Amino acid sequence: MKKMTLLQGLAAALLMLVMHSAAFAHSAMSSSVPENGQTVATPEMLMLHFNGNVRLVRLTVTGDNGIVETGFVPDAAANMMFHVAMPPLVAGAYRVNWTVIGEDGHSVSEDFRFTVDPNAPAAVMSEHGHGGGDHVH
Amino acid sequence: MPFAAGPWELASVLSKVLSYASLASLVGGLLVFWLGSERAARPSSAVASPLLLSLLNRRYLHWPLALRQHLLQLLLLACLVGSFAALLFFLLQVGVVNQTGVAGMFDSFMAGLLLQSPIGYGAGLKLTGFLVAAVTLLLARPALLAEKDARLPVSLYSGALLALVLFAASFAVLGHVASLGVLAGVAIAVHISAMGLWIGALYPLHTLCRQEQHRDEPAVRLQALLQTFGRLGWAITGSLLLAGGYLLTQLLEQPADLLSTPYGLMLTGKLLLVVCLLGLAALNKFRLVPALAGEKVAALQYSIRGEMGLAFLILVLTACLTTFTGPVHLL
Repeated sequence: MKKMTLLQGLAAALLMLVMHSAAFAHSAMSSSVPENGQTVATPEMLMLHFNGNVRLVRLTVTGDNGIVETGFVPDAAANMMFHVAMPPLVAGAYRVNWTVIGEDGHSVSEDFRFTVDPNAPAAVMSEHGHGGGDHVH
Repeated sequence: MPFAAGPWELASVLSKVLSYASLASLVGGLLVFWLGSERAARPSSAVASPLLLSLLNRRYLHWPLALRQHLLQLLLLACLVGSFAALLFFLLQVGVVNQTGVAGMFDSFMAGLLLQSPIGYGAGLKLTGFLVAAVTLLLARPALLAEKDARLPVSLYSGALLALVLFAASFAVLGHVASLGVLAGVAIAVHISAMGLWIGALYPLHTLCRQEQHRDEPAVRLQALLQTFGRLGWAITGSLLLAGGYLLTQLLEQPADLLSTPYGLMLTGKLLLVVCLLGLAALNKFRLVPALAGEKVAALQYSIRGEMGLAFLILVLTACLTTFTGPVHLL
């Protein structure tokens, strides 16, 4: 009986040793400027911050008048932070849709929204998480 | 996140199933070729060759020409379908990223961009692996199909080994385990290789059984081949389960996730299918293969068909597992 207990203890210790405690996740955006749902003065730049190195392969900004021409050029280089130059935006609601490829090769697409109001304060970086997007593996 | 089973995801699953099945057929088919061959008796004056060379060199095939042709065609078909599947997977990923419909799959700029990502590396390694295997098989064809003294050239195994390394590397750079470190990369390489050796050998073995049914004499040669396969089975299933078990501990945070998350539940389903497959393999090894001396080939054939069905379900479930869900759901 004592032997069984020892074996069980060893098995449990082994299991604990090999169990991966680190969080394991697909790529996700950890913060952005402007942040999701924020009302800001026209941003000179979009900033997207991810939870790991990703390749930002697609980014579109859509306003009430259609797609906005941004300075985004897809690049094969992997980074955690991306800056996209923005033209002056008229007041209104905007949706930013992005697609990244993570280190594991999985693509993730998500979007966030912001509103431009000339009387609002400038956008500042703050942490916010985004829920799961469309993941294709 | 709820499962998103749109046309892109389903097409992605199809490309993965074709890829896994082709890879398995190729690796397992080559194993059966090796099992079916016999080493030539070495002249007593010959110097002892190194172990590896003695395993591979000058192995003669005694199978009828039609059987050798059939198995070679199967391997070449696996290379063709596997190449197509790797290409299809890559183009589908280009289409998914572009989000402009089917035309988006053929956007050369985006394709160039994805070629420099794990998607491109993974698909490129698989495609190269299938092409290397195809070229090697075509070069070995005259030796394999020779009317007299048909044999397995060493170049066939060199090429097959290179292809296997490329396949293993493709799984290490692309997929859920890609970001888990070197040991997980080695584990997935072992897992994939063992999977191919086991379930890929099933159809060729089934073909051999069918061949034996038309003969009158007892299936002694088939029995010997299956007994060798059974002995190798310990190493193959052992490494498959060991590597799979290790990966499981890396992909899940706690054992309870196996029953409480979509990803874990799909893994549990896969494990149950593997247990059933092991059960059938044990039945073959301990009951049906020893009974072959009594010419019970049909029963073995039936059991192998069952194994093939289970193996197919495992491949489909694995493709779904890596497409619709991911460890992200555990967070």
